[in-house]
Amino acid sequence: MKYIVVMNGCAGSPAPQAQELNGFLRRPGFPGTAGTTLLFHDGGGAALLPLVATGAVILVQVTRYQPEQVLDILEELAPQLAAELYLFFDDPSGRELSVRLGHRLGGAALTGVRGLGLTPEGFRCTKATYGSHVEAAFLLKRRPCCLALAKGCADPVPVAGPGPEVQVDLDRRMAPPAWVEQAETLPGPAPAGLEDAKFILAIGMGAQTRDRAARLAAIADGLGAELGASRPVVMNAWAPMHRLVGVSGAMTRPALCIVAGASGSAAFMAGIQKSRFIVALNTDDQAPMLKCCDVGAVGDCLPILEELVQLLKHGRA
Amino acid sequence: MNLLVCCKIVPDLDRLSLGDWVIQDQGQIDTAYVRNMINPFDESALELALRLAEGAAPAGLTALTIGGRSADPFLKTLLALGFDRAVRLETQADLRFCPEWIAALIAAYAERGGGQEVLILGRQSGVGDNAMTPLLVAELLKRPCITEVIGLEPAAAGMLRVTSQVDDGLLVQVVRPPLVLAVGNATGTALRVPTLKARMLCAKQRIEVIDAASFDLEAVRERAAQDYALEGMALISHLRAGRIVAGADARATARMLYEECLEQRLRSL
Repeated sequence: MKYIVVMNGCAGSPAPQAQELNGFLRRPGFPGTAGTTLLFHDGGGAALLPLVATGAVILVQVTRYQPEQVLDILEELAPQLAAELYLFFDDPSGRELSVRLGHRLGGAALTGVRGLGLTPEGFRCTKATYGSHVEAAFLLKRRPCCLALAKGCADPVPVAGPGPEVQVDLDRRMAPPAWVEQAETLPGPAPAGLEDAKFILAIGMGAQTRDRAARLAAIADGLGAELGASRPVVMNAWAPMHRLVGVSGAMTRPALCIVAGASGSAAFMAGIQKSRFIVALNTDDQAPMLKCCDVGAVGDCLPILEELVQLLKHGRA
Repeated sequence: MNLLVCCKIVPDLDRLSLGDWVIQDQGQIDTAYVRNMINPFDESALELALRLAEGAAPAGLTALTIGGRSADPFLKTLLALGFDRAVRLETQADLRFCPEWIAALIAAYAERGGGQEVLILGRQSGVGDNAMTPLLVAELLKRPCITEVIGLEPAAAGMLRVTSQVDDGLLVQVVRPPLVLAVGNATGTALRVPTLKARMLCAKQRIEVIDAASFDLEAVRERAAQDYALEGMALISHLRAGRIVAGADARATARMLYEECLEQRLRSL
């Protein structure tokens, strides 16, 4: 079964997603047999070839990633590609392209896909619903099937081997569409590295105030932990967006995660569930987080964590 | 500028305790006893629209939802906040996993005479978690779409300055409507609260209720249900041992945590 991987290479190196996708392709039962990557890039396509997990690649150079133009190119290439399955990363471009391309090709689309199988009736996909409390299985009957994979859908596997065969090298640079009068990309903050962190202090609304959240950030420094935050914390601007942990942020896998003042919503839990050891601190002894940790304590997180910093600095003495 | 903001009223799933998560027949989960709220992404969309309206003197500001009467108190609040119109497309249908039908209804409403140049929606809602509706609306209306929007400002000559999160940072664009905007993680966009006076002033303002069936789109719903068949549901468990450590005070608790389970782990990091 022929499948296409669509990769947005205009946004720097998508190495973590590429490794996760590689892990997904190598899972037992993955139905694809002949894979080609459509790699959109703005001039640096050759440098991204080592990240391509399929045996073949089609390079498409564009002026910049512009979803309407990329969609037009995908739609134009679809008849000759004749693929039954399109796979996209779980990033803003992947989620958008999967749904819109599925619609344009008269096929099916689904985002946040965690599992995939092929049955005689269609593609059987699983994804998290109800704010990550429930996994639902859907049978998608239309083809092609355009799927945006969920972050954390597979363990990352580094791409190895001789590298893909470049089948075609297309130049589709063009002027921006008429409805865009002006466009400027501002670089985001340096990645927080939460996906690779060994130790995370993740804070929730139990931080209570912006000042206390700042103190918790200082405590994370003192402990040598990366600071993570739940969605309500970043939505209140008590921590920057790139510190967000959970379904719409980083999916982490640290050796140790201390959760301070987060109630334990499922969307947040999804982001820390691969932690080897979780310690939860919460003032509410009924907080779900205290049942979703390895060890927990009931009480205000600040004095406990401040004491932990001292213990780490000076030992038990 | 004429704006249409779409919002969905959803149960506050964080209010369900772990034991309340029971999958009933036909994949239903009883959430009737928890409070409802405006979907958080839609709340950001509504607040961004209100801020835009303050700066741009819009020709119209309409809030649209799809569902039953339980949405009406929220629509009343939106009227009190300054929305000119609050519209509900009446249906008792299961809305969880049918973004194609919802998008078709929104697009049909916009085409029927809404006349709105800019449609603003949250990027997804937390029951179906489909994350498809705004994208499908854009396709159906054949309008450009900007996703992950976090900021909106008026610009010259009827244009908009739209800030959105992209894969490598922030994209700031000055764009010309018509457009569909999907709002993402927009910080500091909690929906404002109306004053009592504003509520009283709009008390007699009517919510427009339109029968969803009048759009004659049942075939879209039936086809989507067949082509996207829900086959099963299973609870996702995050439960762990949950052993509670309790000292006499915070200091003693910290020491117990450190000695019993953190000291070795911290040293081996």
